[in-house]
Amino acid sequence: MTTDPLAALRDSYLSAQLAGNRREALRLLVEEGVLRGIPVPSLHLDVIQPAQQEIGRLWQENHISVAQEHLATAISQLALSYLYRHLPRDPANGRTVLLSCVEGELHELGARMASDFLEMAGFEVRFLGANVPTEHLVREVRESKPDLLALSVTMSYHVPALRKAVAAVRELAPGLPMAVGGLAFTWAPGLEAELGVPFYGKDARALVAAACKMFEV
Amino acid sequence: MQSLIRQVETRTQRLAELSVQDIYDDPFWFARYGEERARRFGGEDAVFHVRYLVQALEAQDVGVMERYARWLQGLLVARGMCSRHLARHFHGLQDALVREGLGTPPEALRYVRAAEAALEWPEGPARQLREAAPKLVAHVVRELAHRGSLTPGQETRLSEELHLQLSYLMDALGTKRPGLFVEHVRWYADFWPQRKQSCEYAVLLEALEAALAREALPSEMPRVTVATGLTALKTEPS
Repeated sequence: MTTDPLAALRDSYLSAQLAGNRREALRLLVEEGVLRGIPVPSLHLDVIQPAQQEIGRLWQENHISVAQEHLATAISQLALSYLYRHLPRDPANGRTVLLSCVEGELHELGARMASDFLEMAGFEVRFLGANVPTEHLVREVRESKPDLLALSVTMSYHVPALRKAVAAVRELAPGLPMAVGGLAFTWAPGLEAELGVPFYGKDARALVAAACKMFEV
Repeated sequence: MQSLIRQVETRTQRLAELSVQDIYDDPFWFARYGEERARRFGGEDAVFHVRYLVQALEAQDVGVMERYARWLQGLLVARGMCSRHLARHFHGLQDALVREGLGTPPEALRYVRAAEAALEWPEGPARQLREAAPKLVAHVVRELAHRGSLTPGQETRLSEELHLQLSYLMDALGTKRPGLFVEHVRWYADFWPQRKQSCEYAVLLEALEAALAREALPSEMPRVTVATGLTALKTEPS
């Protein structure tokens, strides 16, 4: 029996996910989380994220099916949408970050969480979501002229798409700072250096810290 | 090197097809997953192997393939395969690279070999079992040959079968999920007649358990796990 309230909340949230119970999952985050004074970033990083990692493990070890994994992830998507309205926000710092998953990459939860963290830190965020074709990413960079582009890759076999995206954006906007992040980087350590990008976000907090440092905001 | 990478990448589909073309000679795949699923997932996985190989070569990091192999192992041993099956897939890819003239420079072959090697369990009872496997197999084959004469062909097939069963056992021990071996035994008992071996499945497992007892490995887990499988086989016929 755990005495850590965050760990207990994570276990309950995970149980609700596995049961496919959206209402209970949201009730837990609001009644046992927000209303009890647990900061929203903690709900992201200490409840939803580890629960998702556990869902991934359960799927890999064949304890749950693909459908159950999708059901659970859909609940976390809903939870992030719900918590969005509760995000504490620093005053706007005047900088815009464009966030996107690379072409083919369907796992967007991490990038979405990073978007929320950047927004909390006062950045204007344009989040493009999953599987953005490189040519459309380039078009969006050209039109929205962000101060920073952050690209997310979860599955390691999408790294070639990341390389393509970095090269295409660099051709259009050689001076645009880029950040990269996602689970794929744990499989290919040093890739960020090889790509020549100034930093990568090990997690949402690290990305925000690096972005704030870069722009001195 | 860049030329090799581009050639591997360009021939992804061809390499993938070549690498799995012989595996369906083994009736296991269609029996376990059904022909449609076996061919679909086998084909998709073969493409993934090549894509990861391209990525590893581009990063000049053999670790990409090693991490991929271990990740895949965790995924597939929980779904009815064993590491020996995965090793065969990687071996098929090595053969395909050679057939396509991509054996030199040797990096592509070296990276796939590293993936195959990464499937070996590095510690604990699974490692003890791996190290003892040649002796165990030889002992069981000798014992079964003693009971009834075996042709050289039958001995070879029996040896291969034992290595396969040991691979399932190692995976169950390596993942610390001995129940996986018991599940495997339950399913395999029905499949066994398709193997057309010279003995019953239970007889093979009994001989394996006896060999494990005789070998006296530091851990009792391998023998106990086989014994549990045998109990399940005898008390819960499927």
